[in-house]
Amino acid sequence: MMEDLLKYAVNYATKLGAIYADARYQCVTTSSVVVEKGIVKSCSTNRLLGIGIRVMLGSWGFSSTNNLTKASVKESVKDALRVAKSSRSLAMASKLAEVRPSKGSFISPVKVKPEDVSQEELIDLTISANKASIVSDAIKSAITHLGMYEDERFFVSSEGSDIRVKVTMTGLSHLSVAVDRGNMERVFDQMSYCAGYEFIKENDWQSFTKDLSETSIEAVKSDVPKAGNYEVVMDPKLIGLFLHEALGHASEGDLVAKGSSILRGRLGQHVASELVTIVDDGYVEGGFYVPYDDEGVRKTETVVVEKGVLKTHLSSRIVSSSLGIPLTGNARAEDFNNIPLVRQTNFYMKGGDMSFEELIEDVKDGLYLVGRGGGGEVDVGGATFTFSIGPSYRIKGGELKGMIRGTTVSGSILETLKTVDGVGKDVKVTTSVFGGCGKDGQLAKVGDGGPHVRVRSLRVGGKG
Amino acid sequence: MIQELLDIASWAVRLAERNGAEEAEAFVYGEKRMSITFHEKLEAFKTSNSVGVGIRVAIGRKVGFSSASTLSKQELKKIVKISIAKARATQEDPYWKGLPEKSGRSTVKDVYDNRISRITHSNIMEAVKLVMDTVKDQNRDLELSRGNLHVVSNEKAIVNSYGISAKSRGTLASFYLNVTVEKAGKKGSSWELESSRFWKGIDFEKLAVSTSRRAIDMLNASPIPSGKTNVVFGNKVFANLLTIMFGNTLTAYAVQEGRSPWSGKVGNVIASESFSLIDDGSMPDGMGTRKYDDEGIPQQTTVLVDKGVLRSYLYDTYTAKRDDVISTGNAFRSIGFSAKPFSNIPRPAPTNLILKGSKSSEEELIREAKNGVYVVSTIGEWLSNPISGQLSVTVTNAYKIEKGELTKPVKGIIISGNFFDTIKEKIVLIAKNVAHSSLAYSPSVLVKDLVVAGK
Repeated sequence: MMEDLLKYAVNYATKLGAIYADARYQCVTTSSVVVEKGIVKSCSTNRLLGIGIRVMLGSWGFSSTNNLTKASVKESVKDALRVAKSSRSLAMASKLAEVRPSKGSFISPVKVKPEDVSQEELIDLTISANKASIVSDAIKSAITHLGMYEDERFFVSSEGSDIRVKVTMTGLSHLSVAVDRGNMERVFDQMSYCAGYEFIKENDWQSFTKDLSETSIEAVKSDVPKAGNYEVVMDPKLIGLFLHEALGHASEGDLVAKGSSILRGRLGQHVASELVTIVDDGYVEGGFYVPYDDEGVRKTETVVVEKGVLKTHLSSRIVSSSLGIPLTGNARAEDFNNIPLVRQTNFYMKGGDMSFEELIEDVKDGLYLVGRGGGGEVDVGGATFTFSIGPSYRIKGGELKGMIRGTTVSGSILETLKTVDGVGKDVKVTTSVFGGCGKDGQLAKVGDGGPHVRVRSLRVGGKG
Repeated sequence: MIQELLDIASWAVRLAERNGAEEAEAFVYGEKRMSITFHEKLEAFKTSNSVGVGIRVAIGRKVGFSSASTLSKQELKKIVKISIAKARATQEDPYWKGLPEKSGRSTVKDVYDNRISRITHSNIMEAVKLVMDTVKDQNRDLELSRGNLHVVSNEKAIVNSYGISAKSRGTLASFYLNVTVEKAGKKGSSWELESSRFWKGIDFEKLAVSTSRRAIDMLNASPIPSGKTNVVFGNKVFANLLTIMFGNTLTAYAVQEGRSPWSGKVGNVIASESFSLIDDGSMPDGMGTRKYDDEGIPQQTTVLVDKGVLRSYLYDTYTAKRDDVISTGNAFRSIGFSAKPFSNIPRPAPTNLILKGSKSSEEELIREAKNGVYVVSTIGEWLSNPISGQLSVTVTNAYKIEKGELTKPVKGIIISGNFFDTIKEKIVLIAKNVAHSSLAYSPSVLVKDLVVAGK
């Protein structure tokens, strides 16, 4: 029934002159329980639904509505065409790379549907995870958040594509704040998986939150490292964050096409050490599930960097055509209210052949940086990245010695990647039901990760 | 439109009460949004109309919430039922002392620009063309890497079981520009973000010129050596720092939940005498100014820090009743002009966080610094830690200060330190050039002896 409305939209758009049109229906349901220090602070369910219509007339015209009636959809089509026509004089002359129309239904694996779980069970689980984190008086704040997310999308195009994708993801996050003699430190982490409630049931959340509290108690008593350059070993979470910020955004083909990426003109060049191979894949264990992008293009594994050499960029149909690169299926929109942009899916480093111990033992004086709870940002044009790290450790004489408090790290994208001199075997990719990657005001769910990695030199912010 | 929202809100509250809610509140929202993204050419032009309703109900001290992006009565009946089911299933919140009671008419004026609400595609196109042409005119080698212009006009209605029946509306225009240049193997980049409640509040040509000039300056920018240095934070940069370092931790919610370093510190000296910070929800034409907050309480002015002494936190009704005080009218369901405020419960947040300026000009600050660095733009400042005070900013555009004057362009350094110590002991001078960024208004500030990680 919804497909009929979408088909009506694209047919009407082409009738009124669009060279191409697509329509996306989406229904997102999110449920959450938030518990702070044993008390349920909120228990809620939200539903967002609507249709977004995209038309091509030189540049994109787009209009969206929550009103799922034929009349409203008709108005949206007219609106989208109106804006496309009015901007034609300044529009890029754009061609869409060819794609064979697809039909199909793709549903991420679910054993226990979120709606089949009672409210009481969700609340009890979150409360018990939260209470387990209150290990001592030193813990001043403990907030636990259980999240469940179901995103169903229908895509119909004027070329005959008709695709349905439904993703279910569940997860739990926790923040502990510890106090020691007037100092405060917070530690945050989360675990999510593209699965139903079975993922929540099979994890030991009490140990998860307890460990966060214990880490925060140790971290608040630890020192911030001195500012400067260090030899570092990064954990999988941190290498994931680093790649996402340092190379992922720069790989987004729309940024390359506009000249605002450091990777422009570098296809075929060495951009990283030859130990480094990086891919972007719509399906990987632990990551977010993207079988098709929001242009109806199949998302398979894209090799972005192979043994240090830049092979390609991430593309959408316009970017593929304008840059003359393969179509990689990376056009994604946060929701029906937004236009797809080139976004990463699961961007991660492939494993090498070293063990964690081997990576650490050659470091005389450095840091083992852990990305738990961190975040990052990149200035693509200026070629610098910056990200925050959670409580981490010093390395002295090849051994871990003592905790350091979280701080921020930054550097030059290309310089840093070239100094990777050790790649571990233990690849881990993770995603999150909470938040996501931000670009142009749109949040995208992504996965990231890699193995443990050693970098010869990284600039650490340090203490003031 | 607004009367319709109010009627729907009343209807939803009555429905919830008939279905077993002891207290009920409906937040009904609608907006119109247009957004255009471009670089050398246009990329995309989008329009959207969004609506949504959030229903909060309480049965005793058990509270449930549900929302949907629709105004259809059929869907609303469902979400009313869901929120009541959640309230029945959940556990008691001992701190719940009820939804807000009616608290009188607001004297604050909504900030609404008819030009924005009636804006046409060609108005937007003209502004974009002006920016494109201006950048081209500055220098042949410049590239307009990214531009985004978006305008929003929105309305909300809040009704609850205690007689609150509030409506409020607003407009926003927001413009972002990033210009880059490449010459002889060197790269320069600069960006600017400017927002206003009025269409005329954004000077497109002026912004295009200043961003272009800075991009060219940055061609020759390089890091300065690591060490301790004096820093003049540009007004927008300091406004971002204030937002990150105080925006959440000065709310009563963070304090009550043990996530604020300011807990129990009302009455204490937390900053230098020159540092006075208020939250003014009634500021004429303020970026965060609204007649009513997101619970229907009139917005107002709250003194947060007076000459260095902490005076108050920011409250919504839940936190106010817990502390036995009155709400300061700071309830927000989302930050900034998000399209989906109806999908969240309210929590306290700043409206217009304002750092009081002094009489000094920015030039005086630079002279006073003698030697140091003047910071124009940064990234990653949001990764700083407002709980520990650990500040870390990566500087993207700056200028060296030598003998009291701006000299070489600088980029690629990290400034770090403890923000709490900085505002207590290291503020030398505050300027008078107040500007807005994030959730705050701030002048430029001269700080001494911060650590720089550079060359």
